[in-house]
Amino acid sequence: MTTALETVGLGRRYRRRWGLRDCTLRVPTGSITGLVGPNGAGKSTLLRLAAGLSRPSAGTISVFGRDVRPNSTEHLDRIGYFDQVRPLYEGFRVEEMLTFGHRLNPSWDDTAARQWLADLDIPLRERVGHLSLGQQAQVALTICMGKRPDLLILDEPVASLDPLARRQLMQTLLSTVADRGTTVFLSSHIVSELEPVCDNLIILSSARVQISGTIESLVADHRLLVGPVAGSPPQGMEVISESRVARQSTLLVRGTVPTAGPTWQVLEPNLEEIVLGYLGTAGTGPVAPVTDAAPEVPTASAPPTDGGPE
Amino acid sequence: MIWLAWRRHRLSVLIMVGLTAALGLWMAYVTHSYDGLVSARIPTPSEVAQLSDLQNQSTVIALLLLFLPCLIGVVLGAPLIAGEYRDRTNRLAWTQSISRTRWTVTKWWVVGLASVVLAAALVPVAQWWSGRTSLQFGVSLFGFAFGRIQPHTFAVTGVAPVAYTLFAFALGVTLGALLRRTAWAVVGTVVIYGLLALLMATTIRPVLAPQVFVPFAEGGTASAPLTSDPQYPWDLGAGFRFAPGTRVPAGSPSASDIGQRCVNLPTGGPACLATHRVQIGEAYQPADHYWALQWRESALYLGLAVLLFGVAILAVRRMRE
Amino acid sequence: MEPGPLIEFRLDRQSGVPAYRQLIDQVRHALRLGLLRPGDQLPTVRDVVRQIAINPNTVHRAYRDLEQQGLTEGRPGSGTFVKRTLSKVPDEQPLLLGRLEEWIRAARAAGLGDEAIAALMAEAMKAATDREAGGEESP
Repeated sequence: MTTALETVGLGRRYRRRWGLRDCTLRVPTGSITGLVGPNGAGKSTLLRLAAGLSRPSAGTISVFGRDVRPNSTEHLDRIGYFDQVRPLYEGFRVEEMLTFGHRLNPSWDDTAARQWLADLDIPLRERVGHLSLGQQAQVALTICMGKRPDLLILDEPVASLDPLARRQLMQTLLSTVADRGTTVFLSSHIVSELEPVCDNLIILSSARVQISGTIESLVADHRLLVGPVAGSPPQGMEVISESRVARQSTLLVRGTVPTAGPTWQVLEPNLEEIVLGYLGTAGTGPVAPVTDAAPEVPTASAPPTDGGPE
Repeated sequence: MIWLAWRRHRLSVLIMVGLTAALGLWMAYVTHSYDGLVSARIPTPSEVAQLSDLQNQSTVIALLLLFLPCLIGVVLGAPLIAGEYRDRTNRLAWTQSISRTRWTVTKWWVVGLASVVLAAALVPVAQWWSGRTSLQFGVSLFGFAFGRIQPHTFAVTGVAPVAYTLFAFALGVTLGALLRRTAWAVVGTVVIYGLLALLMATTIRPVLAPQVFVPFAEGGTASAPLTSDPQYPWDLGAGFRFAPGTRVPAGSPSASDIGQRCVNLPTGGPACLATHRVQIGEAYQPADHYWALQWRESALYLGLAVLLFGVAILAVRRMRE
Repeated sequence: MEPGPLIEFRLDRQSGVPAYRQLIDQVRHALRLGLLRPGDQLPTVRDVVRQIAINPNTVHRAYRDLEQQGLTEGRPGSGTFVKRTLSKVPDEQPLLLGRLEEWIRAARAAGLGDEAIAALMAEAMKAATDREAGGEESP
C-alpha cells in the first residue's frame, strides 16, 4: 500500500461555514508530511477527519485504501492520533495511562512505552495533572505511539512547548519513526519546525489546500523576483503574491524563470517565504498568469485589469 | 475496558455508596431509637417529645428516599458521557482500538450495575424502617393511611426503587450524550424524572391493575378498608362506573361524562344516575395488588431505560467533532 | 568498539543549506580532521535522529550520497562504515593559504572592497559545492 492517506474533494461543513473544502491530497506511505497554515485554516478539521473523529460533508477520505469509518476498529488499529489539546485523564497516574493504552489496544507494546518514558525520566507514579506541559505531551505521544500504528496523525504536537520540550518530543517521535518507518502526518504553524522534519508539505489556508508537494520541489519551483515598482514583470509566470514598498516590488512566482530581464533580480526563496506567499492569497488561489498587455502590475488579489490592447 | 470504566467513575460511585450507607445508618438509628422508646404503657411527655422528633427525622428520610434514585441518576449518569465531552477525553478514547459502541456499553453497565446494586441494597433497610415506624406512628407522610401500597411507601419498597434508579441513570447518561453538558443533563434528568414520577402515581399506576369499585350505596367511603389485611388499600378517590351487567353501546359517552352531568343537575341527580345505570362510588387498589403494580410499573421503567440505553449508543456513534 | 556514536552532528536550521548537505559536509570534515578513520561506524540513523530531530529519510539520503562518493559503505544489518579517508589538510594547507592571499591581493587591486570579495567567495563556494554534489569530486 503506497498511499497512507488519500482525500478526494474532501469537505467539512460547520453550520454556515466550511471548515475544509475541495481538499484533494495524498500522503505517501513511509513519508513525513507536514500541514502548515494559520489558525482556523482547517488543519485540525482535516486531521480529525483522518482520525475518524469527524465525518465528511463532501468528498471522500481513505486510510491505507479503506474509507475512514468512525466506528471501525480496523481503521483505529492502524492509526495513532495526537490531539491539539492533548487530552489525558488528569487524575490518573502515568502508569495508569499506560494501563489505559494497554487495555484498549491489542497491539500495545508496553516495554517500548515504558522505555520511552524512562529515557525522559518521567516518573510513573506521578499524577498526570502534576506533570509539566512538556511531560504531558510526551505521555500523550507515548499513548498514541505505543499501539505501534502505521499512520501517526499529530495536531500541533509542539505548540506552546518550551524549546527543550519541543526538541525532546520531536526526538522521541522521529527516532520511533526511524525504527519502524511509520507514516507521519503532522500540522504546525511554524514552518522552521517542519522543514528539517518533513518530506512533503501541504499549505492550507482559508479551508483550502493552496499547494502541496515535496519540500525540495516547492523550493525548486518557486522564485523571488525583486525589482522596481514601475517595472513590468516577465510574462508567462504565475504570480503567487506580491509585496510593494515605495521603490521596490517583490514577487513570489511559480515556475522557473528563463529570462527575467535586466531590471529583475532572481532569488531562491526559503521555505518560509514560499509559505507566507501562499498564505497571503487568502483563499483565492494562485493568480492568473500576467499578460504583457496589462498596463498596470496587478496585485495578488485582483485579476488583470485590462484584457489586451485595443 | 472494564478497568477503565471503573477507574474513571470509581470516585462518584464511592461517594454514592457513602451517601447511601449514611442514609441507611440514619434509618437504622431512627428505628432503633424508636424501638427503645415505645412500650405498652402510655409515653411520658419527654418520650412524646422524642417520638415527635423521630417522626420529623422520618419525614426527612422519606423525602430523601423518594429523591435517591434521581440523585443516583444525576451523580452517576449525567457525567458518564457528558464529562468526557467537556474534557475532550472522548477524542482520546475514540482513537484507541475500541469501538465507540463497546466503550459506551461497558461504561454503562459497569456504572449502571453499581447504581442498581446500591438501590437494591437499600430496599430491605427502607422496608424495615418504613414498616416499623409507620406501624407505630399510625400515620406517615402526608397524613395518608399507612400501608405499602400507598404512593410514598410504594416508591421505596419492593422492586420499584431499583427500576427507578436504572431509569434515572439511563436518563442521565442519554441526556448527557445528547446535550453534551453535564449541567443541562442534570436539570433535564431531575425535571423529566419528577414529571414522570408524578404522572405514574396519579394516572398510570391506578390503571395498571383492575380497580375495585365500591358504590356509595353499598357502603363505599373514603376511608373504609376492604380487606381484613391491616394494610390499608390505596384510595383513588370518588368516581363513576356503569352498573355491572349493563350493555354499553359503542360510541356512547363514558360513565364519567354521564355521571358528571348528572351530579351537576340542580335536582334529580340520583334519579339521573339510575336512569343511565351509572353508579357513583369510591375506587381503590386493594393491598394485595401491591406486587402486580410493582412488577408492571418496574417493567415500564425498565423498558424506558433500555430505550434510553439504545439512544445513548446511537448518539455516541453519530457524534461528530 | 566504543559504545555510542563516534561523532555528533549539528543542524543549522537558519543557514539555508539543505539538511542532507550539512550532514555530508560534517562527515567529510570529520574525515579530514581524522576524527573518523576507515573502519569506523557512522552514527546510526536512529542516533542521528535522536540527536538533532530530523527526518530519517534525510539521513538515509546523506549516507547514500557518501556511499556514492566512495567514502563509506553500508553493511546490511550492521550500519554504515567509513571506507577511505580525506585527511589531506596538513599537506595542502600552507600552499592553499598562499594562493588565497595572492587572489585576495589581485581582487583588491581590481577595486573590490572586502564585502564584494566575501560575496564573490561565497558564490564560488556554492558553485563548487553544487558541482561536487553532481558526483564530480575535486580533492
